[in-house]
Amino acid sequence: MRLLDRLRLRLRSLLRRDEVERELLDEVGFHLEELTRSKIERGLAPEAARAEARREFGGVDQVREECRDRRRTRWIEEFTADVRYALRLFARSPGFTAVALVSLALGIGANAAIFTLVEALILRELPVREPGALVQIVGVRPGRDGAQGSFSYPTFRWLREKAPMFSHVFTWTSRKIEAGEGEGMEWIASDLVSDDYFVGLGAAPALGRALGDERQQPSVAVISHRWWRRRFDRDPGAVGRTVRLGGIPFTVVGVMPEGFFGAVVGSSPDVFLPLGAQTLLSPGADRFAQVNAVWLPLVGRLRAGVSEAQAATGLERLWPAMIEETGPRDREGNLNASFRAFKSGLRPAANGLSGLRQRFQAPLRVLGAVVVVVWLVACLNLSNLMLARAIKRRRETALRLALGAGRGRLLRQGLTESLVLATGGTALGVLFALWFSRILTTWLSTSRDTISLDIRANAAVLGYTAAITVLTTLLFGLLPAVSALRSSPQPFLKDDSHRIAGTGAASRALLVAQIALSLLLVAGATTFLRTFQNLLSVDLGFEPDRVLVASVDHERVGWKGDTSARFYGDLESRLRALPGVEEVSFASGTPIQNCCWWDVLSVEGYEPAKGERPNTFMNSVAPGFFRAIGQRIVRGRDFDAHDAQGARAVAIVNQSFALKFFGNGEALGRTIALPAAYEARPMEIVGIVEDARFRDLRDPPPLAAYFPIAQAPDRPSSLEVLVRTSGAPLALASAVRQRVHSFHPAMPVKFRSLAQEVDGVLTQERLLALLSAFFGAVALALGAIGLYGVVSYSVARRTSELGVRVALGASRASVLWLVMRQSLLLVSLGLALGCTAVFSLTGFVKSLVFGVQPAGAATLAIAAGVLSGVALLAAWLPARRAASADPVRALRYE
Amino acid sequence: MGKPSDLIQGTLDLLILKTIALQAMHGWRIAQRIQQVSGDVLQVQQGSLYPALHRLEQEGWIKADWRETENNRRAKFYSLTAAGRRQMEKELSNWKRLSGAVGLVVEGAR
Repeated sequence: MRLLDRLRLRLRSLLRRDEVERELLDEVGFHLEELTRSKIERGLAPEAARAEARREFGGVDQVREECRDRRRTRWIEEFTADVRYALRLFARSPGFTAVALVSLALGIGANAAIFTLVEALILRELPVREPGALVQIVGVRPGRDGAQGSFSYPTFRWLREKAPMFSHVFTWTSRKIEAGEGEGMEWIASDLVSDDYFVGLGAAPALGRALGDERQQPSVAVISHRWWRRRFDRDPGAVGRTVRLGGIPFTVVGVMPEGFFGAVVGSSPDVFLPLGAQTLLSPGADRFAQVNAVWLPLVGRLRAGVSEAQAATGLERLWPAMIEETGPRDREGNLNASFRAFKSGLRPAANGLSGLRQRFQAPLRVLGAVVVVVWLVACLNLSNLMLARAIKRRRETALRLALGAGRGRLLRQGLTESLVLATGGTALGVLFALWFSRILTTWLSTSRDTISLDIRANAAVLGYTAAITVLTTLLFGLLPAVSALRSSPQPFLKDDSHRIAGTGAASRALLVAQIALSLLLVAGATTFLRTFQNLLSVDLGFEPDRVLVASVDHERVGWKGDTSARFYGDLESRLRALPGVEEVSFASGTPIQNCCWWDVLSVEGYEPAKGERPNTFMNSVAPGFFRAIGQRIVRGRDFDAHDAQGARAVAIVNQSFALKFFGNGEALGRTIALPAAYEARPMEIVGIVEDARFRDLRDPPPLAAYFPIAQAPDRPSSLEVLVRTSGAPLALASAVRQRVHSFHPAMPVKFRSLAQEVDGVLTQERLLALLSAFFGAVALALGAIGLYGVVSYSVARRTSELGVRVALGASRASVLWLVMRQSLLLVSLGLALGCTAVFSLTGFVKSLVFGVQPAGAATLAIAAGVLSGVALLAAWLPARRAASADPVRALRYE
Repeated sequence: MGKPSDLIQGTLDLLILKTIALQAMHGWRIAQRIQQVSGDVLQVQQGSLYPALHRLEQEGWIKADWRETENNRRAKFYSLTAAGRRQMEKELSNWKRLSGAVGLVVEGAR
């Protein structure tokens, strides 16, 4: 209550300032009148009484001033006055203001955007009840990075029944699924979740009910808020409706609240189905009983009162029995060696699980560093510009000091000006950040993984931005504000300003630092651009252009074995009949995105050295595969129709494989075999193909072996259809879809181009290249502005001196050199410092570069060349102006 | 500028609070009353009275309203709030303790 009263009073003194002042005047006037009256009563003449009363009372203005102080709103009043003054000043120099605002907006906005991303991806807790009690159960190997996060369904069941430290253990699996049929069909993201998923995660639905034990009736679905909005237009009647998912009718039983995305940060499932629906959706593959199918993450909620450490100890005790009973085994029944080696591990899961986090940790760290440097450069630049302004305003400052303004008060005014700029910059920066963080998330997404992060501004982001604003103000405002106050006012008042040595040292130091930091950015941009370029020009070993890839999931419609073989045979001939089609083939995997499996093969006549386990990448392909993707067969032959199931088992290997196992000897005709677990016959090598990259463009091509699909040990449940065309590959998609659906209208088919696939693995490189180039350009522009400003200012200050020199016979060239000399010195000093910084930071980006030395001579030369070119141009313009000035005018300059 | 009229720092608050404790008064009357009651020993510097009143008002210890005086002039009358009464009690006991202590020292030194 009292607090409110006080607040009301303060507000009144602030907002109704005139009224308060008038009252004070009335009050004092009344007092004076009473005083005068009492003096008249004591016999003084009215005039004398009035004069004496005034004398006795003291200065009315002082009293009013003191009352104002007592109201404690004075600083706010002064602050608003300062803000108004600053706004007027900035409005008078729009060029400076624009540069300042834009550079601050970029610096602050880029920081806010990266922080927004980091906050959403790494720092934010899941929007569920008590996220702190969630832990992920993993297998770890002491002394090694990474962890085993996937387990079999039997392991999940075992743990759920026998681990008392968790109140719930739950799991899920994600899959893309078709919703609806015919024209309205769309691919959506689904999570198939275990019984305890929702209660364990601590999430309640916004409408209807969540999923629990759905064994009775597994064809029920809970849908996300987003999908509810998109598909049902927020109709509350959606609950109870039926949707066709994967061709099967599911009943919607609930809608999750907005912002709920499950347990994986970056994912956004549209529907949640019971884990049991897996059997409905993929009737062919029952993975629930298999110990060898490790496909499920395990997350537990700690029982109330159980600490993470206690749970870890408990899990450690249970672990060996769990692995022994439910771990994967080979055909002879031996427990998988790597699973045997795993120790139990718990990871906090309050912030959710995320593969993105690991994938983007390194690039985000680099981007974070880049935006901090950009911000520093912007601050240094602005500090320098403000310093020049402060020097120009010295006479004003001196006048204020001479009239009795306190230094603290002037400092406050200077900082207020900076704060006004920083606030303006932040406002623009926040707009930039909103746009930029959205762009960033779309750039992080690839054709395969759509990343969706909730990147609305929240308290953490706003707090961070506010902190940056204040820091910015101090960083660029303090030096100019202090330097303005440092010197004595006399010489300025005497109008001797041209004789005063400026605070040149401070501004030159700022400039050197700015150039050094800019070099860092430009060198980074050079490095990442060249990395990207190098990766783009990597010899893939195949030609991804003009190849359409269609993933066909034949098992979904129940086709297996001979039925599917017939289907693909017929499909091939129909596709070949399409105009523009040059080659049609099939494979279980494509080189980059949906690549292959790997294992250690035994090779005829090759004894591996002790401990050597050379992995070979493998793929099952149909005849024509190599022609379709443009991979050259260097020796031997391609598979053909004779390499059928009962025929002699054959294989094709790549050049690296041939070289490694057979050296200069003949590889054709030799035999290789899969490990015993596959129960496959030894295969004769009939062809050798050129090396091609797998999965990652950075890794050199691995050993590789290809088998005919017809002879594949495990018949794949889906196939990639590869179509080489003469035109744009995706243009052919609808024709291919039509042909596929002519065999079965519900056959799931997804399209991409092989080039998109290659593109997808370059996401982070492209991101870094684009962003570092952008910020490098910003740094260059700011550096140019800074240098231009400083040189212009120093030229202006030396106008009369230069005029004298010219009048006394100095050539224009020597004047030009005189001015340029200083800039050259500053730029080279900055470059030297910058190079040192580049050298000390190379380790930071090592994992992100390819084919480039981050601190290599070429990189540094390019960066330094670009930077000094821009810088010297910026210095040359004012220098030339100085050199070509008319000496008579220059001498009259003051 | 006689020495006796100088007020010990901080006592002006107490004097004001005590003076208006019984009855709302305007600034002029407060000054008069303090001077009268103290037998002309304490003279409130007019220049410091109004700032003090303003501060006490900001603290929420006194509140002000405009009323008519006995000779039909509008003046700003100050009266004690509940918080002000508590504050007065506090300062009063402080004052008693302090003056008692000073008295002891002065007596003892004699």
